[in-house]
Amino acid sequence: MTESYVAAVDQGTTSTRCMLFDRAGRMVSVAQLEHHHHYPRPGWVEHDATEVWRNVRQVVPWALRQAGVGVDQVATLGLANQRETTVVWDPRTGVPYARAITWQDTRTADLVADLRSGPHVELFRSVSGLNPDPYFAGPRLRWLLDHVPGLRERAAEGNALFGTMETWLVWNLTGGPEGGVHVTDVTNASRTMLMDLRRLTWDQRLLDALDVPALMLPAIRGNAEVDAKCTTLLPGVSIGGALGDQQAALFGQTCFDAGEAKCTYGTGAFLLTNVGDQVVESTEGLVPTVAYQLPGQPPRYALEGSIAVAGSLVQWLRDSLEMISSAPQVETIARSVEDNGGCYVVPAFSGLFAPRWRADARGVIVGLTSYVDKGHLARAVLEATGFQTRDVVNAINADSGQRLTRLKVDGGMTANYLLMQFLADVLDVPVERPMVTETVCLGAAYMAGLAAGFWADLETLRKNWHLAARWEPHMEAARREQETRQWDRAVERAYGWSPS
Amino acid sequence: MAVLRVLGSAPHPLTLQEVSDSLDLAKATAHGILATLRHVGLVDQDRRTGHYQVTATPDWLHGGGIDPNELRSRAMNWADRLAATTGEAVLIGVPGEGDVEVVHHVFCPDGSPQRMMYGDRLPAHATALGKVLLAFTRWWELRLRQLPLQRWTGLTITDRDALAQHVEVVRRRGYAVEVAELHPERAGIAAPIRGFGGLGVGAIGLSGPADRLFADRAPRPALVQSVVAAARAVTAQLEAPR
Repeated sequence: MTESYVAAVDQGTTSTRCMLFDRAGRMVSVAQLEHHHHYPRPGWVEHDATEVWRNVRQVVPWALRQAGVGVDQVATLGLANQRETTVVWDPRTGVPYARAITWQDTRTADLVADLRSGPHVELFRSVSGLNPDPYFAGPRLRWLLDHVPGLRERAAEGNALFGTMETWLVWNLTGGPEGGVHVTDVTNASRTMLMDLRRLTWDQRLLDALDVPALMLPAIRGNAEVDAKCTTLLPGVSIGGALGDQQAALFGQTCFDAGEAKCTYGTGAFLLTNVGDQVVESTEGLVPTVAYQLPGQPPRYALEGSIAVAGSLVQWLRDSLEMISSAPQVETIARSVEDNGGCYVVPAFSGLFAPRWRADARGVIVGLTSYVDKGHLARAVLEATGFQTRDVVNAINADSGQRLTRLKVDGGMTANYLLMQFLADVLDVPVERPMVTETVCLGAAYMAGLAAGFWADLETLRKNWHLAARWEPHMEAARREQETRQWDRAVERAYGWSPS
Repeated sequence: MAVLRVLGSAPHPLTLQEVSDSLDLAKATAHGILATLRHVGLVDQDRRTGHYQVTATPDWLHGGGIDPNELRSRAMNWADRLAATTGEAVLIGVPGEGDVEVVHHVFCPDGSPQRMMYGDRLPAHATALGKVLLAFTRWWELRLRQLPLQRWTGLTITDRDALAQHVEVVRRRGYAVEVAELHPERAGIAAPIRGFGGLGVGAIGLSGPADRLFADRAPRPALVQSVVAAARAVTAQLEAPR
C-alpha cells in the first residue's frame, strides 16, 4: 500500500506555507515562502495576488519533494487563508484588477464611518452579525468598485470576479481562465459583511447597502464541500476543504464542542470559542462568526476576540527599542526579576481591539519609578498579552454564559514559558499546548481529510490531539485581583490619547 | 578565535587551566593567547579570582553559551516532532551550575497525567542528557570533575574512571544512553545540540520507561536514530540566520 498524505496550504499574512500530514496528523514536511508587502500610503497594506499564487506553485512541489512524496500519494488538499483580504480579477485572463487589499489596511475607514451613521447599520448587525468595521472584506470590495477605473462596468458584464484569498487560489488551482471554479466557504464569507450569518447565503439587502453586484460574488460552500479538483500543481487531487486561518486553527485544535476555545499567539492574538449551532450575539465586543460547517450538518458558530498587538509588542522591543536582539530573549530578561515592579504596558498602538474597541486609545507605559528596570519592562510586555487575553476570556464568559475551563494555545509565542505560566495564572485555568502547534495547516488538512474520507470522523481527529505541555495556575486569588485591577487602571489611561 | 569561543560558550568566567584543557593547548600557549586578547580588549580577567571571560559577548560569538529561551524557541518544532514520531517524552537540557537544567519538556503523547519538568535539575552522571553534555561541553565537564558522584540506584556510575570511560564512548558514538541509573524503571537516550565550532550547547533526548526505550538490554535503534536526527536538525536550526 502506498502511504498517503494530506497536503495543506496556509496562505498567511506574511508567508505562504505548504505542509504534508500523515494519518496520525503528524507533520511530515513544510515549505514556506514570504511575499512582499506594499505600503502605497499610510494605513494601506497590499499584497500582489499574482505573487502569492506564484509562491503557492513553488511551496507545494517543494513540500512534496522534501518528503519524497509523489502527487499520486496526496489524498487531498486543504486550504487556509488570511481572512478579509480582498482581490478582484479578470476571469478571461486571470489578472487582478488591483493589488489585494489586506485585512490590516484601513483605507475604508471613512466609508465604514458613513455606514455606521447610515440607515443600514442595524441591518448589518442583525443579518451579517457584524458591526461595520474596516476590518471586514465587503467595504474593500466597494472601495475597489469605486476607485478602479472601469471596474463597475467590467463587473456588470461578468468580467470581474471577487474573492478572498482561498477563492483566488481555488479558482487558479482549478484551471483559472479555463474553467476555474469560483467558490468561497462559509467562514471566509462570514467576514465580508455581505452574508446572512444564519442562512449562509449572500443577502441582497446587504449587497444593495454596499452597492456590490451579486454577479461578481463566488458561490458559498460548506468547509468540506468545495467539491473541486486541481487541474494544475496537484492534477487530479481534490480540494477537500477550505477555511479561514483562525477557524482552521480552532478546527486543528479539535475544539468541536461548545465551550472549547483556542488562542493563537502570533503578531496579534485570536481567541475563538466554539459556541454551538446557534449564533451568539455579543454584548461584550466580540465578533460572532462561523466556526465551520460539515456536510449535511448545521453550521457551528464561534465567538471571536481579536487582540491586535501580542507578538508584535516583543518585536517592537527588539526592532524599535533594540532592548533584545531576538524575540526569545525577552523571556531571559523578564526572568531576571520576580515581578513587573509595578510597571504595566498597554500596547494600544492603533487603538484597542476586542473587547474594548477603543480606536481613540494609544499605547502607554505606566507605573514607572526608579526601581523599574528593563527586566520589569520585559515582564510588563509579556504580561500585556496575558491581560488582554483575560479581557477577551471575560467577555466570552459573559456572552456565552459558560465559564472557560481550560485554554488551548498555539502559535510561536507558546515557546515563551513565562508567558504561558502567566496566562494560566491570570486566567486561573490550565493552559494547554498541543504537540502540533502548526494548527492552521493542520485544521485545513483535517477539513480536507474528512471530506476525502482520509479520516473517518471528528472522534478520530480528537484522538490525534496530543498534549505537549500544560501550565497550571499558581497565582493566589488576591494577587490576581490586585494585578488585574492595576491593568484595568492602566488601560483607562490609554483611552483618549489619540491626538484626533 | 577558538579561545574566544570557549570563553563565550561558558556562562561564567573560566580558569587558565580550563581554557587550556578545553582546547588541548599547553598552558603557556593558552596564557599567551589570553594575554593578547586581554590587550586588545576582547577578554577580561577578574582581578580577584584570575578567571577569564569574554568582554562583551558579541552576537557572532554567541550561540556557544546559547540563551536557553532562544534554544527552546528554535528547537520546539523538532522536539514536538521527535515526541510525535517516537511516542516518548522529550527533554532539552543545558549545562547548569553543577547539574543539567531542563529548559524544554514535551509530554509523552500517551495521554497519561504528566508534570511540567521545565526548570528541573538532573544529575549529570545519571542521565543521558548529562552524559551528552559531559562528552561534548568540555569546560563543563572540567568544572564538574570535583563534584561527588551520588548513587541513585545500583546501576548509577559512581566511579570517576568508569564515568570517564563511559563519556569517552558517548563522544565516539555521538549519543548517550542511560538505563535505570537514576530511577529503577526509567531510561533515556540523548544527543548533542552543537553551537559554533561544534561545541555542545545543549542536549536533546527521550525519557521514558526502560522497557519501551530498550530491548534486549540495548537502546532501540529506531529511537536512537530519531534522537540523533532531531539533534542534528536543531543544530542546523541554530546555524540558520535569525
